[in-house]
Amino acid sequence: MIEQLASNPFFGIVLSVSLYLTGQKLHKRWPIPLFTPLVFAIIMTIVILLAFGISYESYFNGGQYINMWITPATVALAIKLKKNIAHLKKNVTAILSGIGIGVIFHTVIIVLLSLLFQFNEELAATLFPKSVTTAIALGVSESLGGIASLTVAVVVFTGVLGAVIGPTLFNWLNVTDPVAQGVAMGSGSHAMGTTKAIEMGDVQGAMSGLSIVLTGIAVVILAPLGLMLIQLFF
Amino acid sequence: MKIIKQLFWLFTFSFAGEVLSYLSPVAVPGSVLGMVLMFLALQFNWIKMEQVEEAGEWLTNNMAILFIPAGVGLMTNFGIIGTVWWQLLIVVFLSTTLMIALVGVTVQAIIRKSHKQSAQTAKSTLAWKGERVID
Repeated sequence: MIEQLASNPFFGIVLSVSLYLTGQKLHKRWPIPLFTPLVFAIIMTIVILLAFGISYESYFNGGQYINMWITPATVALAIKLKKNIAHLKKNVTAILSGIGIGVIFHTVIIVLLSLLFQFNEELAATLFPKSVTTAIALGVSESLGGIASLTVAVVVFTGVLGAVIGPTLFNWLNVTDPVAQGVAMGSGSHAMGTTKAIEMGDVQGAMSGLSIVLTGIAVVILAPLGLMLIQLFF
Repeated sequence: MKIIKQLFWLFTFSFAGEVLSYLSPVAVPGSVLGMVLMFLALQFNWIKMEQVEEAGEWLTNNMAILFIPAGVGLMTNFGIIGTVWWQLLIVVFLSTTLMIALVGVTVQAIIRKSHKQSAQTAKSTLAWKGERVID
């Protein structure tokens, strides 16, 4: 009976949204990474599904209606890009070379570590897009033959980690320039880094939002190269 | 009605992106192509910002919630995670830390260099201080 009721689309939607809202409340009261609404909602949904023996397929009957909004939301990132294009024009060389070098370096690191840990092709493809915003990472992971849900988990973890350690890193390395801070947060830890960047200042926030989109595009452009490396080594 | 019209544009560009992705020989996510199309449309004034702004910003500002179902999909992959979890932790930790550090340092170095040059040519010493040289 539980499985039958859980197959109703509203089950998945109500469960996901209510846990997200609960996470928001908890995070306001206790701002620890575990209570980041997305992290909390994913973990608790899994716990509840497992506890009641509900299959992912039943849950996804409702989940798919949330999932389908990812594409239009990604398309809407164009609005952020358009609004921040003036910031980009002012420091175009620094921003584009920073992101370009960062993405290439990131690809190299992923390939090296994947070789070191003897990951297979599937896992390397899963990890390749990990620093970009979830929507783009999902698409890239799927098109390279990675495991989409694992990519989401890795991307979320990257975002939480980046938001937590970013400011400390800037302190250690004496990165004080607000543009540099924003670009680093956005390209290294996407939307969650941007949330932190917005707290750091207006320039940081705008630059971080812009960098999410630019890094996403850079990763998409570099994806065929990533695929080549993966096929070469794995 | 306004929201419906705005969503209509977002859905139209989403579908256009998917169609283009299907037709393109290289694997590019349809959502990204849709975003590029939308950006071009805004840039060249084929559509106006007001025609998409409200619904679009609402979606991007609340994007996190959309990834719950995809993330819950993890439960179908416990097998793989069980065998490589600590390697994954190391990969994420190293790559994220190094990426943020490298990008931050690189962008700051290039900005300072270009400001130093322009300051020198203008015989100004203001930008030498380094901090907050932009704006």
